Amino acid sequence: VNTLVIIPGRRSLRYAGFKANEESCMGTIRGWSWQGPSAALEEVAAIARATGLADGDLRIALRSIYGGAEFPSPVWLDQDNEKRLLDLTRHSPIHLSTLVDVAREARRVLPRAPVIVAFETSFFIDLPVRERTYAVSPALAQKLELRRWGFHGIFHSAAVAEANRTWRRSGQELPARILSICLDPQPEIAAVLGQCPITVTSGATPLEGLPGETNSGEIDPSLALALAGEAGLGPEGANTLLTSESGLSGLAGRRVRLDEVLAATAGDLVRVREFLLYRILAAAGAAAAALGGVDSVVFSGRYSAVAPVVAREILPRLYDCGALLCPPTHWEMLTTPLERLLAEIAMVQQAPESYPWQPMPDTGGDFETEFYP
Amino acid sequence: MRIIVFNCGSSSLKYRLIEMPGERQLAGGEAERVGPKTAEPARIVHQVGDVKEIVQVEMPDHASAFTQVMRLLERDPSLVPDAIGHRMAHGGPNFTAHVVLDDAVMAELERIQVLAPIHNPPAVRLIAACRQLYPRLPETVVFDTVYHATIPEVARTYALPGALAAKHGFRKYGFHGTSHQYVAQEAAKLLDVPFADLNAVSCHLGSGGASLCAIVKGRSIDNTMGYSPLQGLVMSTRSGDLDPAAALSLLAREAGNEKSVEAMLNRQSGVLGLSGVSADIRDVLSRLSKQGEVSEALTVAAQVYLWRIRKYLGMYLTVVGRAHCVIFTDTIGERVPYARWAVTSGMEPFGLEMDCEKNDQGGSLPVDLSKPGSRVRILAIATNEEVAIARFSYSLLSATSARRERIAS
Repeated sequence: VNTLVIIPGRRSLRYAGFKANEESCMGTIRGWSWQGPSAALEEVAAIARATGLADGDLRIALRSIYGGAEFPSPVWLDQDNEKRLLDLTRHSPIHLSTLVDVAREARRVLPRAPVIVAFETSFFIDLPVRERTYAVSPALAQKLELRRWGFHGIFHSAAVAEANRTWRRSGQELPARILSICLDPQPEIAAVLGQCPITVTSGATPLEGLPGETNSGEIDPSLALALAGEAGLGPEGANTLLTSESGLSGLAGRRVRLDEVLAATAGDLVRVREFLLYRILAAAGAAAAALGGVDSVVFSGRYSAVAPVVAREILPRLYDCGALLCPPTHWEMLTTPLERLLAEIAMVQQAPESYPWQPMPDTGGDFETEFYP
Repeated sequence: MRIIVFNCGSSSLKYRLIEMPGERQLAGGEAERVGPKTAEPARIVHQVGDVKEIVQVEMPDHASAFTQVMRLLERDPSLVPDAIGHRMAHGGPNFTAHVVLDDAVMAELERIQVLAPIHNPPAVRLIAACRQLYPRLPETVVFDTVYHATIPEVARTYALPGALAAKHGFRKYGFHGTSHQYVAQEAAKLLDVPFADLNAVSCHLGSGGASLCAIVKGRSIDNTMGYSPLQGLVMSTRSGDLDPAAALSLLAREAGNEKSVEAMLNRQSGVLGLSGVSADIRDVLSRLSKQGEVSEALTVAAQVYLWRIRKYLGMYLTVVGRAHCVIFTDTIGERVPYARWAVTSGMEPFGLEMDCEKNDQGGSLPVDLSKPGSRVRILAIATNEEVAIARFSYSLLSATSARRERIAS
């Protein structure tokens, strides 16, 4: 089975091809969204054909940040599933409508390849009620369809599987209490009991939780209102500021990457690094309390290469207060990139025998009301 | 020195007359239903020793409430105050210490009222009335935020563009500082640890507001409340933490009406919003404990309330490092053993081992509720913000008086 993974982002579209388990191509198309998905997907299809990917049994894998309660597991994108996906666009108008557009273009340029979509939120679908509920009236929560999710479920799921394998190999029978730290541009920490997440730093959107490269992370909700009112930004302006102009870059005063911040040992980024490490330590402590102690720590994410920095700074302190039950030098790291994880998901799924697929009309995402980035 | 301590609510005025430095309470009470007329008459519940009296009197504003309280006290010459101590919720960025009132302080208090639009304005109006009616009485102002002035930059900063945050003062201030500091000092005495060496997590769980404070070497290093008292734990009617995108989404749906959203999050959420029946977690827990009453809303309210405390407790035990103790205080912390048990059970790795029997029995405070071998002590200590305010006031006024004497000599 060959797999073509496509990850459309706001600024760039990433792709990777796998012939069975062998990576055959990987790349990024920058500024793709200006031209729309057609040109970018034609370029990707040309690469797939040139590398022989399209010769065999090809599957296309896409990743969706949000699937809500509607998508507890990956789905092959037929007409019915596309409609279900489009029904969710109110939660993430830009992301989901772009995803469907990309899926349609993929089908157009590679018509024989079925498209599978994996959802970052699926892993968190059964978060306990006490964790996923905000302290607002049920009526308001229902009106806003408000509940807490995690948005790096694909990384956490794979990392936790790795940690569980090690745990079982060591002869343990009880489920492991796992602290899963995903070091991505929007980092996320989850506390996982065996395979079940019981707490996560993100919220109704990826904005809440740990600060990211451009997102503020958790702030006083009054501050969000003050930004919209007192600072004169309005709800949309405040949302843009919090998602795109804040976080580590906002503190640094220039665009920075998470790994750059964590690796900083001198200069202006040291202050930002200390801030980020404090937030990670605090979130790890909360996760440890949720678990009642941590047996195992596993890192993942695009920037897992800087995991040693975080481990060195955070784990001795968790150990010192008693929350970490293994030595602070015992931690694991999942270095597998997201592209390969998606390919693995596509490979193990049973492909549909027939694949009738008619594109729906234009998605027409409402770009003015993007509150759920 | 007799110090009258005022704690001003939006429609109430609590007072306590305390003789210092002995900390003996001479009188106390509360003026209720201050403000526009309500269905029931305004009244003052006044107590001297064991004698309680209720006086019905109109109090259209805090100035008139203050006047009536002073009249009650002045009936007995031994109850005439020598000084006034005011509690102020928010001290803004500039009040990093408690102060003796003067014109400059008054001007700054008026300027920063906007930071706490519910709590500060009535207190500022009261101070103005006190100055006008009793200009010779020295006054002090004790801020809830001052104890948190030591919160380091890593904890007080929000990840916003620096210039914008500086321009608008967008940072963590923290609240309940007077209470956290008071119980931490009492804990240090109880454990026989110098306050300057004390590492602790203080859980101020009120029937209204609630916050946790991380304390290292006697100093606050973090507080669950933030720029405003809305952030953090689930409270009686406040939501506590909420995804900022959800707050903005709500604002957009309310056509940009900030006041309406603030009211929703501050007055209709929290325990009240979740349970739909009561803003008091004690009601929720007691109804759940009754046989036969099964309510999903009550169960969720209790779980979410307790779960949030537990997570923050773990967070602060981690950032504190080697804690001497966890302190429970205020209405829920002092009087609800189940809440104390629920948030500490299963926290043995953090060094918390509760003596459940002792916890259930309660008894007089302060009390150590941990098992003998517990690495971190679990204490229940009654808070006394009025005494704390009187202590600060006495210390400030004694220093001022000593300075004057030095200058005169």
